[in-house]
Amino acid sequence: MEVSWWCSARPISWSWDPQFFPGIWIVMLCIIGSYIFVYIKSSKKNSSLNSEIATNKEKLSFISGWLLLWIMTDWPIGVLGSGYLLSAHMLQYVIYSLVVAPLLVGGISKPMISYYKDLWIFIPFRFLTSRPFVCFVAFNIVLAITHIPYFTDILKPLQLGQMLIDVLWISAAMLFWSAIGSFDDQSDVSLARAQKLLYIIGITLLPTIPGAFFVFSDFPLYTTYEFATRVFNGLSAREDQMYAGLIMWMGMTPILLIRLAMAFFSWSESESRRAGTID
Amino acid sequence: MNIKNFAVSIFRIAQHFVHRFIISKSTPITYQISIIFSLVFFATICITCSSEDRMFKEDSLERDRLSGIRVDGFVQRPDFILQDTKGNSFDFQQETSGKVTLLYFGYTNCPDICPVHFSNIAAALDQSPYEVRNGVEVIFVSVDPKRDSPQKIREWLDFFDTGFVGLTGTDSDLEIAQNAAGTPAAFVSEVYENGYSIAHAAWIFLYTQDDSLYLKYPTGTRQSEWAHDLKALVLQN
Repeated sequence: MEVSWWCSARPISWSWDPQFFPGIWIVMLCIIGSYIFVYIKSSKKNSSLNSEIATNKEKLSFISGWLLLWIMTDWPIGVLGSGYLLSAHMLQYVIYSLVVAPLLVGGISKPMISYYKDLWIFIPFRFLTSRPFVCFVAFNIVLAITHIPYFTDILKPLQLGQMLIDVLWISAAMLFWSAIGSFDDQSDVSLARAQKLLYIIGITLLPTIPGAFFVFSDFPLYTTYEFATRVFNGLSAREDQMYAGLIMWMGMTPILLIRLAMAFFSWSESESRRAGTID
Repeated sequence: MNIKNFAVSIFRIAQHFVHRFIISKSTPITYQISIIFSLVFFATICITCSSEDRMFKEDSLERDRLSGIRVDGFVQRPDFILQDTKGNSFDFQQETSGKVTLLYFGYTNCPDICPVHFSNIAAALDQSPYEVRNGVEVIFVSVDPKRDSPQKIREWLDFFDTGFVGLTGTDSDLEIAQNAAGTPAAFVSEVYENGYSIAHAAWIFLYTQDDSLYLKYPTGTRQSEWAHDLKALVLQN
């Protein structure tokens, strides 16, 4: 039985024997523990009112996001992504950024936030989430830095390095999705929805840059994955890298198109309403 | 000043800077867009620069930029006879003379170094022009005759490239071959419940057309480095 703090790239053959990562379990328990703690505290403060502190939909959203985060971080996907398959690494990134983060953000209700938003520790978070442009830039800087081969090859063999990558990915993605809500604070609903649309379009374009590098490069870009022992017979490091690029393109696109469609119909509805009012 | 006040002060300075120069409502949208594109450009440059060295090597096929470790002096192509995977006698010196030859001593049950080496060589040759693919002979000598039958060696090599040559022999023949190549003989290093592992040379020896040992390639040689070096050595004979 192998036990380590966090997944990392190691120079050993891939095995389907389970591996245990107490660090991941502790972090996951802290996340769900914090949610329950905030929920209970907020409920007590809110006891005078008869309304629920979070709806069942919000609770379900958070729990499913949390479960998916655990699945993507722990064995086997986490181990494969940290040192064996670039495609698994890319799958982690796509799921973290486009599924886990919006589910987690969607699970935190406004009453839960309102009780803690004035704490000094949340000041930077409040500052950032009220400025979508900054979150957009932060999300893309994290995307770029964590995919530069030089940095990735240094961080991946270290347990703390891989942990840093995971934390950066999920934090940047949560900031990005939290910031979308700040568009709704504007008085002009139609303009807010149009901006939201542009914001999501912007995020679909930039990941195609590293995706193109992966698909069209003649040789593997990352030594971590080039020298990893093969997990599946017949899947070379070069092919794995190509699949990673395709996941970046194809995997991100449908998920973002759904979000885009939601934002578009919402914007179109508000436009129709406004036109109706004017008529 | 406690930590909290210090953090808040730093944060307020940063907030002022970011607000003033990046996100102020008075900041023109063109300025904001130019920042985004600058960042994208910066990221692209970073990614490009990190592989600049490899790209440079691919563009300049010079023998003084080879990645392998150069062997001082003239070391002749070794002379030994083993058995190939069809059961025929294979005279290494005679069969490979005048060709760029890669010689490796390993075993098919090797969990890491052997498959990674061969996978990378096969991938590099796959990306190389026909003249290079045709001008390189890759020889794998199994140092585990107990488990590696000629058929097993063939199947293992075919997984990478059907053109790779597999050789085996008796323990004494293999020892002679390793000594001739100037590498210590492989030996059983660890015995497990279901088998054993073998300690063997991790180098790949490269012999040039003039039948001398020119370079040794350690574990960790990248596909791009193989592609560059083989191209340089075959085409710039």
